[in-house]
Amino acid sequence: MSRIEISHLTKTFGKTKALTDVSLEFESGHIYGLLGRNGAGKTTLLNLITGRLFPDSGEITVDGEPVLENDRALSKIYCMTEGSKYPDRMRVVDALSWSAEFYPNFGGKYARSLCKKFDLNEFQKIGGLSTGYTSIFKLIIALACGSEFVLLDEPVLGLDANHRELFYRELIENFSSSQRCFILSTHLIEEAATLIDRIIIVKNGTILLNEDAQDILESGCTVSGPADLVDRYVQGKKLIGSDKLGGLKSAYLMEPCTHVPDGLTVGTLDLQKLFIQLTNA
Amino acid sequence: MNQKRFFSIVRYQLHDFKKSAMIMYSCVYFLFIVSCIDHNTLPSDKHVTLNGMELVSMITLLVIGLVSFKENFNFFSINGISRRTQFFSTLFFFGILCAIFALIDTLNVAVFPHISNYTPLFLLLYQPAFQGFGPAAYFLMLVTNFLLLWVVYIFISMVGLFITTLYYRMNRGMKIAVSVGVPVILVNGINLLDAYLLHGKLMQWITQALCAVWGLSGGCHPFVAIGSHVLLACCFSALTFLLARKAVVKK
Repeated sequence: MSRIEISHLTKTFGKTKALTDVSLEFESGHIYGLLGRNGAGKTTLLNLITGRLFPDSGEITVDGEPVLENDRALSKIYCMTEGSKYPDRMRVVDALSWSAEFYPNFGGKYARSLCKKFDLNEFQKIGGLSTGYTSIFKLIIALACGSEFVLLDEPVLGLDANHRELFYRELIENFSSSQRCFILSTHLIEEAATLIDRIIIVKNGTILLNEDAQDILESGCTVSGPADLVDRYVQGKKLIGSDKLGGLKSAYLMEPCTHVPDGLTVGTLDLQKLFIQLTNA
Repeated sequence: MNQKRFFSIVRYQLHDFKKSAMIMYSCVYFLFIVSCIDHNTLPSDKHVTLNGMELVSMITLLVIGLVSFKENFNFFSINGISRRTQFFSTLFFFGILCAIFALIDTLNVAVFPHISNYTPLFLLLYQPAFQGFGPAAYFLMLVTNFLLLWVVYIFISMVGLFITTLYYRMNRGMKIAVSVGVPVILVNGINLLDAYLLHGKLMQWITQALCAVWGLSGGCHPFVAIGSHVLLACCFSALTFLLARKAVVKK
């Protein structure tokens, strides 16, 4: 099992502390959701993992080898960034060929089949692609690269609902067959909630939460019903947020819902509500 | 260093600059053809002369050096290639590219002076060193021409690579300061310093230094020029490496 280990990582930009003493582990066979508000330090963390930035202190290793300036360790990681770093004049088909040169396990046929599925013209120049198709192009390389760790920074930027749905389906299929490690950094929490099995929430450069998604969602609940009934039920309980619409109310609790009175319905905890609650404070 | 990735980078860069090199040599050969036609059709007092076409290769290589960092650094970085591998494979790439350019230009030296009014740069500078030694000297001249062009081309591309890497590492303020400051110092500062403080000695030193670098002080010594350009290329590549090894991918 491959593993990225991050220990006591700190990174500052001038007077801004982007990450402070971050320690984390990523293992193959998981889809991680790296969540955080804008400027929380998610992209900095991904750039440090791929050696694109230098940390002020701390260490990152891949299978025990330091990642900095280490080709063997770096070849196990592919990071899809928000902006395109491919030459504008390069055609999609050439980018796929060159990716196969740099990543020995690159699936050329698979990449071409994805181009067809996403209706991406292989002979178009990268600089001429729309925002959505630039994301699709980068996603195709990320899915086909064959690396053990695939880091996706805002992977669905500019994608319409149909393409997002198709990407999620391909991601699950790819993960099921390869059991690689995917790290999804996204703001679309509701969509990502159905994919991820571990949740990492970054806040102000520190790790606020690093838990199994199932465990965290099962440790809380959503209770809905008439507002007065809900208010009475949540009294003295760990309330993390609520929504009210007319006379109906939904309350989100950070504890299991037990002894629920008639008239109230119980559901699983909403990840987005949990995220908002945790990162607002 | 992963050998496959190393050579993939070299091949990528050769592929990337193939078109530019072909366009450049198409223009050069167009001029040579015009010169040949002119040489063989016009009366001898109306010939057009063509000298030092190697300068075209030098300018092309300087430009290739200047455009070889930012885009490639981003592209190779997203493909998980370390800065060290990127740098050494780029060095290797320039070694090959400059050897190809030097070889083509040496073949031009062997062919075109016989069929057109062309004097290569090497003969303009070092012809006296090879006079009076017979056919062996001609072969030695061609070999020396190749070696000198090769190291000079590498030096020039290293200068280009150094400048672009330096600019990449600088912030906006530094870029403006260097872009304005260096030309002002080179054009006005040196002249003023020389005219008012050193009374012409600075220009004399610069001329002497250039002559020494090109092996032209006290005779024609092309192997001195080869040695000094090797040293200069090493200095610039070392400086470039120091800048590149701490470069980060920018937004």
